[in-house]
Amino acid sequence: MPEKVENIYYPLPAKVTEIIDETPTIKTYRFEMEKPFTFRAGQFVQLTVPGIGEAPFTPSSKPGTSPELEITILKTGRVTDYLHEKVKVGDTLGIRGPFGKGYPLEKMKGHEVLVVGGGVGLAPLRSCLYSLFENIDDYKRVSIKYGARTPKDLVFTYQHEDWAKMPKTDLKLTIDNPYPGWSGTVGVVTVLLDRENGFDVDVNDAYVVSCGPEIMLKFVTYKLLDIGFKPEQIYLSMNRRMSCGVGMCHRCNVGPYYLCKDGPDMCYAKIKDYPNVFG
Amino acid sequence: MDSFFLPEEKIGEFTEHLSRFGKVYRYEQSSSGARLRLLSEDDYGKYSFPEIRAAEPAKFLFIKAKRKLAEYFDSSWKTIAIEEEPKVIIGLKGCDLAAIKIWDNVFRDDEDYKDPFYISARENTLLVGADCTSAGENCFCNLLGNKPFPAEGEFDLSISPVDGGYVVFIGSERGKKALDGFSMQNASQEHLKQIENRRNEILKALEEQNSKYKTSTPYRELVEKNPESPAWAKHGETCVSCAACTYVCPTCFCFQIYDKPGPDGKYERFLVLDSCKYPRFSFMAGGLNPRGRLVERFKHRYNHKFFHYHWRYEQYACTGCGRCIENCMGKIDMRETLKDIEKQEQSHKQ
Repeated sequence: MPEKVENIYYPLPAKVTEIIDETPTIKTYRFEMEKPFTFRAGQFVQLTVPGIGEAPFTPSSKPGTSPELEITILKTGRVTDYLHEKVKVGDTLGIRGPFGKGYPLEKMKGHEVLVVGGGVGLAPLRSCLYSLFENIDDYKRVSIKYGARTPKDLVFTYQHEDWAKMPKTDLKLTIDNPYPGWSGTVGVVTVLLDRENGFDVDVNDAYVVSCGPEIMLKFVTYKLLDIGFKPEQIYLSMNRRMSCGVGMCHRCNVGPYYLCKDGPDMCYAKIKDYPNVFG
Repeated sequence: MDSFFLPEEKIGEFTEHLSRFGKVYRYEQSSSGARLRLLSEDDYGKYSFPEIRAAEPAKFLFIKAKRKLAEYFDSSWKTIAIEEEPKVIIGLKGCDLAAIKIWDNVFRDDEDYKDPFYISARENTLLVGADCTSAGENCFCNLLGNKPFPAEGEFDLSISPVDGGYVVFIGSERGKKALDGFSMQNASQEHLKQIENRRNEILKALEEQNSKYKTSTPYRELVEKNPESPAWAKHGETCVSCAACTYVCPTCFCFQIYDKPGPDGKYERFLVLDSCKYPRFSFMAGGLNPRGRLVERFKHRYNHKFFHYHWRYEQYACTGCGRCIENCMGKIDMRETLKDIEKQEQSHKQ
């Protein structure tokens, strides 16, 4: 009998058990796998929409081992359009993974953690928050800064209150433009990094994890550097077109790093000198 | 290394013997240049030895332009047996053999992930190398540290033409086994001397024709340190994104995966070779494209070969075969681009 090797391209079936409408364009899909699935915060999976294609997502659910998994998805391309329009509870999709390194949770122990999210970018950060909250004693403090275009575009609003109540944790929200009935902060997410908006994170002691659209990551990074953070303290969830997820198709690079193997969260110090970091 | 003399008239028997290992592919000289052919029994004895590497790289026998990766959800595809139809490739030149290590690093020797399809093809292929008997005008293997003859450790068997026939070198246990029961006399000192002399001559010719392109700075440093060199725009100007360079390149293997509905309610997943030269190679859902501009894509191929790949595997993903030069309708010459980056760097420093 010839030797058999795992087929790294085969997706494992994952049944959709619930679909939560987060915003008009974002839904959270809950999946049940046949066997328990293990991932660390920040690791990603390749989600297969059968016959349509695959796309990479970082789960938004609690890291660890469970047959259940949640992925929060913005409708923004061929695969996700189909997902939003056609996929229903009871359908079977596919999952490969987990891939990538995940967030540097060990490194952040004993320090403050600043979490900066934009739009659907809060999805991977939620899995990071679950890990932080689980071991909150290990961290000095967790500050969450989250922005979206309008109040209707904020995700996980049903959990915000619980997060704000967590010990050593604070949550600040902002929306891009004034909106009827919104009395909170207005402006892109970087305004939450201004002292006048209550920013009091110790820039010498904190690690930053950020996820959002490329343009947001760019201005968040510049702002962080401006207020005194060093590139070594900043971790960005980078976006690149990805296909294999396992470092073979060689397209998701930022400089010499492949986001699938070396990321997708990259320390800014490692990538800052390469061209087109922010697209 | 063991070496034997194979008289010209016994090439048919030799090939027939190797066919016991598997299907025989052989590089042969034809009216349209050197080509890779799948042989039938009648062809074994008719061998026109090509002087230099052929138009086709051997990559398509290892990393297919399109290959099925899975049918899902069908759990029989969860694991893949390492079994592929065994084959023999005769006539791999030094540059083509050098490419194999470059695939191995990615598809076979990665610590975390193995490509079962590549490993199947690799394990079941007998590699028969061959000397170059001249230097092609676009050949620059010497600039990449490669040789116009098979390098030790990279082949199972190799053949080198001499007066009246060929010298067969045994490069591996597998090669030796493939020749079990095929009797040949030891190669003579004269034969070996003839080979050595020719190799030295060709090396000299390569040194001469490429001396004007030689850079004093290693390629990695040139490419890594000069992302803004004006040489990129200058040499990339005639690129039309046709992807001929990546198609003929023995080491360009960037691919993408696509899915489609299959028979019996199942779905099929395929791998297709892609090219960084295509505008949508890096295009993301949502519209962002970090390499949307042609010059960025032009630069990327050099970056991948001389910087990114080297950063990870400490070797270049280019063997100096010169196929990209030969096939470029924009007449882009990689050697000139790299040399010009150095020139621009020096003039900038002054």
